[in-house]
Amino acid sequence: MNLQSFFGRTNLNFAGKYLVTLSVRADASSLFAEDNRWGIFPAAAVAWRLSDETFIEDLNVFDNLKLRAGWGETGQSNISGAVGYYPSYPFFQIGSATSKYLPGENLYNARMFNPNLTWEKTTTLNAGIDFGVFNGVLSGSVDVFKRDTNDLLANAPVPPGQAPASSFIDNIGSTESEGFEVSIDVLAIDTQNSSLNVFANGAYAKTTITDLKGIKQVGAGGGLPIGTGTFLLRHALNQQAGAAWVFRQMYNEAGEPVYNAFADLNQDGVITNDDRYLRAMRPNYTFGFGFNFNYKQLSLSSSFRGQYGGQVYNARRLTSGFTERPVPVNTQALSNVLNFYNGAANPIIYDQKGNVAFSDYFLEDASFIRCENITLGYAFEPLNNGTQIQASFTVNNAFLITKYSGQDPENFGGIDNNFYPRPRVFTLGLNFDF
Amino acid sequence: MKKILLIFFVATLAVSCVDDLNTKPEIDLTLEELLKQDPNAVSGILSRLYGSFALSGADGPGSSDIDDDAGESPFLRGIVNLQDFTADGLKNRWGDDGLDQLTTATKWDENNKFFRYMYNRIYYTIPQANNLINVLGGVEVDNEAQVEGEVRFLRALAYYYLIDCFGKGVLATEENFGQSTPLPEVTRTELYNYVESELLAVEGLLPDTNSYGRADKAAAQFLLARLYMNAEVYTGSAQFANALSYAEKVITGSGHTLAPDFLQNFSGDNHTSPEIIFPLIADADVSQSYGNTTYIVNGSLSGETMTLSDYGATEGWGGHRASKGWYGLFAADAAGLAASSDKRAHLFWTGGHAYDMESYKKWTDGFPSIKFRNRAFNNPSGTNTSFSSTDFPLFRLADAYLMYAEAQVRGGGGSAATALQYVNNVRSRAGATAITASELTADFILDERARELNFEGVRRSDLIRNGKFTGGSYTWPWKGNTLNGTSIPDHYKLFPIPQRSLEANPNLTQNTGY
Repeated sequence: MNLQSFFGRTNLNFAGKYLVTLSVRADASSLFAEDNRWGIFPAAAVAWRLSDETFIEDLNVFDNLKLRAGWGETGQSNISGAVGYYPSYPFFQIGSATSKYLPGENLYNARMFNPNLTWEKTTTLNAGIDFGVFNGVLSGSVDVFKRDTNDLLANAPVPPGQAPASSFIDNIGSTESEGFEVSIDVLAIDTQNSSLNVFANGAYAKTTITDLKGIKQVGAGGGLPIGTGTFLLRHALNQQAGAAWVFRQMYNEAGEPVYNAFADLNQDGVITNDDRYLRAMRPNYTFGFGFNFNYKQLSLSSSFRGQYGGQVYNARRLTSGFTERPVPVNTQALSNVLNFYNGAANPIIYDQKGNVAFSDYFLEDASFIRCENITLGYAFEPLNNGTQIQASFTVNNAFLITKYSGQDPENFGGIDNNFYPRPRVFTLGLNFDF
Repeated sequence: MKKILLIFFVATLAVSCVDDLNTKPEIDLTLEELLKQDPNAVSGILSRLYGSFALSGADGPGSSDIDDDAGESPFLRGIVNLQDFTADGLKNRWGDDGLDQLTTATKWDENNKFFRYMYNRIYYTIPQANNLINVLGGVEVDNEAQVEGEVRFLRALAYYYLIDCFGKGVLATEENFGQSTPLPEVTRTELYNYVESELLAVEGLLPDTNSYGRADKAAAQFLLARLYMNAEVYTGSAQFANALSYAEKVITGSGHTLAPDFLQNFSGDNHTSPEIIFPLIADADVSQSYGNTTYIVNGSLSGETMTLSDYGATEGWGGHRASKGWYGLFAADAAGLAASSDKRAHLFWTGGHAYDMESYKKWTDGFPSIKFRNRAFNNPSGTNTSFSSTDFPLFRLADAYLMYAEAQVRGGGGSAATALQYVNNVRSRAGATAITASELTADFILDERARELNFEGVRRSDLIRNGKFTGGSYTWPWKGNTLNGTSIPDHYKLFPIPQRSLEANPNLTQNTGY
């Protein structure tokens, strides 16, 4: 693969207070055919260092105050993982030694290609403010953004029969995102013997698909653990990318799901795909916070991370009660070792066929707060020869607060199928500095 | 001057760099490079097209041409799943979502991945053929007309299965190849007319005989006979006279003869059988697939009740068993099967298995079929393999004999005496007693086709043609998901168009009833 960029940038600085950055880049990728190869991506940013203005300085409040605004375009071409390095031109692949067919003949396979592929383009508009007040006691920033992506590169189904593939990468549509980010840092205590620094950040982002070139929705992966080839997620118009396409589960009076019973949303008397709805999987809100505390030789710090909203598909609920599985061929195998009646498995979902796996019963709120680490430290008095000794005790992944009933809601792809658990790590450290 | 030189230097550097953007793969080749390297390249492209009916991909048995599972989605595996497991003679016990619905003929819907696999595979093969026709237009090839005939035959074959399974689609040809706007939907009759006209045209292009595995005249004639046999189902207008005449062409004109022993057609060396008109090739070393006969052989074996090496296999997947819908046509119990003079009755494994299939999910309920095996017929001492080397007899002469007889009985003309002779040829080859003229009815032929052709991917079509697939007039174990079988709805004569295809081409509409 060959990537080339030409880049130009100008920084203009008026009186140290008004900053303008203009840039333009031209990117070319060998992934795209010659006519679609180049993308021109300009950007502009302005900033106003308000804290250098005398009328702000006179207030004697702000250490730092800066307003920022920017607009820019960028290009993405991350497709080689999905379609290799030559997706735009026709090539023949030589069949492997185990994939011959006619006796004595080589096998040559015409590879799929898409000569119209080009850069995915993102236009971002953002505005922000950086501030610091009271001599470093409080500082932070606020940013808002709006991002439009066009010519989105994604795997799209090929209309049957119109190319030698069932799907291929294409510039399939557009998305729109908007959101904000806030970060704040407080130096709550700052004395000779002790200090306490508290920090927090939060972000809100909402991304919606706004165009799919006339198609209502396309598959977006999310394989469910019932054999291969059953997928949960869709890219659909006016929805978050990769939303779960599910049926609304019916429940009995005791609040338990009724096997394979779903709401007839369009009220036509039958349960079909038309009764499915889309539910966003990814959270709109994410956050983090933490603190560093020092008292004399003692230090304590911790950081937390979490999300509010989002969904996780609890596949254990689907698979653990599967009693209608085939009878094992041999007599030594255990078929179903969980005890349903103590709650270890769910006997209600006794089979996984058909629509059962697409129930919204398996979707659970993925909100969580995770304590990423806690560190307790102690710095001993230096020894006579100047050696410094520090002791520390750290717990990584200390605890998790969540209502999710499975093992961990933070699960890439949003489908929890007994993934390898995050370890909780305890570390005891002694640090000698000679 | 220095400055100008510098600019010149930078510009040259930039231009030469920009040229680097025209990257070339180290392994893959353009058509021109391929033809330069291998003047015979077109037969390699043709090989790939033939292979589309047996292989999953060009890069070993784990690779897939379509974005479906390499193991589950190959063509022949789909045909066995869709034609045999949905019908009376064979059931699968795995309980996989989708496959279970096929085996019990219940709850079919557009989300079932096994319909998608077949639809995707058919519509992968067709544009590959269209592409090759376009390639042929631009290069010099020996025997160009014949090669074109073969390509068009393979495309017609793919369309045949579209007509039979799904009944509608789009008409993708070399003329609209590469078009990105979705093609309009065409009806079953339009597809039928297209396939008929294509096969009539390629009959004249194909040679009388061809090298092994490649289509000759008889292959096109056989497919025409099969198309005409089912014409009433496909278009509403019966074509038994044409069916008979094309079956006759195959029987009298192709030079094929019945293999002396029935089992020769299903053994590891069946490429030597004089009976097979068109095979789907398998080879344990160089042509591996989880969806060629490997699926049939390994899927029908289990080391728990059988000895794998008896069949030249090393893997038993414990999946498929025949039901009494098949072996019940020979005898009412295991002892009766063993005592039958009909050798075809012996091709069921009965030891440790129950005659009745109380639970289709239990391996020992029902007798596995041992019709297909890796073991060679003539030299049975070969090594055991995990992949099969047994070719799949997609078209074979005995089927043409039975088509002639059925077309004759159904008013297609011909000779009643010849029809009887053909049926008795098939029966006597297997060691079964000859029947008399009065016994030769459409119902008898349907049963004879089960005895002779089950597990060869035609059973569902045969039952539909005889009005016995849907409804409750004829039932079999687990039809409609009940032990003794129950009625299934009439719209099950067609499979639903897969959800994914409906989304990819908004012009496509769902089959009635789904």
